[in-house]
Amino acid sequence: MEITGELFAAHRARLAALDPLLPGAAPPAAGERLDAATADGRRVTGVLQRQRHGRDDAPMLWSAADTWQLFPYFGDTGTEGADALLRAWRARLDHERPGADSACVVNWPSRDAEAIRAFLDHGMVPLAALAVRAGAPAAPARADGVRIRRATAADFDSVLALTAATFDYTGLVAAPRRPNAAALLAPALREDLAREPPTVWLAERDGAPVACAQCAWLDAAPGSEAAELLPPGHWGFVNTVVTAPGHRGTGVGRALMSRVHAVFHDEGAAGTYLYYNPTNPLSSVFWHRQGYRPLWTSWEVRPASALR
Amino acid sequence: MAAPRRIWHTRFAALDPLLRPVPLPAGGVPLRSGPDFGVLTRTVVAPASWRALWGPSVTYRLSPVPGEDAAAGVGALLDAWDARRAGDPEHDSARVVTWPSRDLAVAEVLLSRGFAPEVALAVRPAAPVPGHRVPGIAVRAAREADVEEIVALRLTELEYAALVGPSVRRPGAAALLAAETRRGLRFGARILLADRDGVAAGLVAFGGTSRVAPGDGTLPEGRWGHLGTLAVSPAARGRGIGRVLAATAHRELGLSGVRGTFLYYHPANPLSTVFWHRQGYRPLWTTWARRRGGG
Repeated sequence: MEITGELFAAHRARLAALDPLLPGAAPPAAGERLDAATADGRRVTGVLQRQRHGRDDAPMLWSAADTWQLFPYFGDTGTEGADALLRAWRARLDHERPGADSACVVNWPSRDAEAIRAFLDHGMVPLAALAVRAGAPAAPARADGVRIRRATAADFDSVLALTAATFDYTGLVAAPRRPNAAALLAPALREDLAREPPTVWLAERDGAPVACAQCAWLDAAPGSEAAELLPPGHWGFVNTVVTAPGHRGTGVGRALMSRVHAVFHDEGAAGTYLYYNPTNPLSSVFWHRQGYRPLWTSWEVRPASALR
Repeated sequence: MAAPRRIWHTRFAALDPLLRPVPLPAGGVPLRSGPDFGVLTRTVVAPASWRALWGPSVTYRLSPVPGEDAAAGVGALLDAWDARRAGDPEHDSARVVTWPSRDLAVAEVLLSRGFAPEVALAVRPAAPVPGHRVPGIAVRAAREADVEEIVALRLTELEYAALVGPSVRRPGAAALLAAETRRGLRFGARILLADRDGVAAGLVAFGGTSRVAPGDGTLPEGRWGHLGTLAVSPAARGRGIGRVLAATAHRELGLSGVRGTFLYYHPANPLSTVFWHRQGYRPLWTTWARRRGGG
């Protein structure tokens, strides 16, 4: 069954009013239909998708193995409509036996305060956020004795060792730590290093790698998947940034990002974006200070059976 | 108190240079699980009181003092706590645990047991405040004649906070805010208003400074200033008014030679987290909660 034109129009209007940086609403998702209504009879709808990942799939780095994702359409019904939909979802899961490595996920505009109330009341936590940074780069920052350069294919091993180490930390607040993190990261890193010029930067102190930023270009062209999340344009994607433990707090990350932001800006990016974990006490502070702010928040509860 | 000192020495000191041993609450019920120890306390807030606006009526708190393996210890204590209180907690209540924000191993344990970060105590070391002005905005001290405008701003803030955090918009909220504002203005709490064409477009409330003695816990010893509510009316947001208000408050508090300032924010608030981190704050203690419905 199709989502009614009226409800979808209200959904589109809701998103447009929430945040000036949100692109137009994506077309309705395909999947299992979930219907509910508010106390006064206003109808709301959701589409439920289930994604399962095997141990060798890259999404395992940030996702549960068995993910139930809801695409909500509750128009102007606010907290009450979102709550009705989440109740229907809860009831739907009563027929399932999700395992330990499972999650319920809703990806929703970060600034929707009315929806946040419903997500929190159902036990969901803001585990990940897509954050954007538009505007000019900050004044150049330097760190003592640190040299920043583009990485090349020859740096593959040292960059992989650094990026894999981030998952020791995020493994505690985001997805579970996967023992094969390095193997899952390798293919994308190889691609980013093969690009001409490579979109990976390395910070070295006394010749030793102490931090890196693995990035990529992403075109939010009309009709593309990226255009459902970001305003149209060419975006710099800041995939993974890490500073080696002994060098944290010395301004290396700031110096590295000042270079990355300047390069993307000079090469015509509409802005840069990244994913961070709002529950991470270090990265949330760092990225907000770097000029990023959340646009989309991934509300999750793990395991899926813990949805209230 | 030997136990809090021990956990501080073995764990907190390495996690965060600003952590100090926090005394255990007096008069609680002890909870034991193998090598792990904790204290349970229950706080009830009068329904028509000022404090009832900031959280649930009943708070059950676990103050854990885990053994060597802190994450496993907190997990065992949470399970023992669950076993002791069968069934759902009552309406308008929460179970809370306050723990160092940077202890991710314990954060994982709390997340996996249905707790969510609900309040962060954040600190900003005293530092020079960059000058910042917004054309057409004048910052001035509030007077009793401003109470009506102050209450309107605070109600808007409360309504938003109740959507994204533990605050509750209870019946009588406006009267409670008015009484508290009047009391505050009489007894030395400071409120600054951002005036725009004669209308209050924003406010920041901050207390005097207080001395934290060694052993008080929570904050390092020394003089600290406190920021309370900062609010900007929705129509006036995005112009830098909040930044001017925070800077002015920091400058005034800095004059009294403070070690730093602290405040509370809600980690699920998509606006205030970004704002406070950019004003120099970072979380020190996080209060994790498992909640039941609001008022």
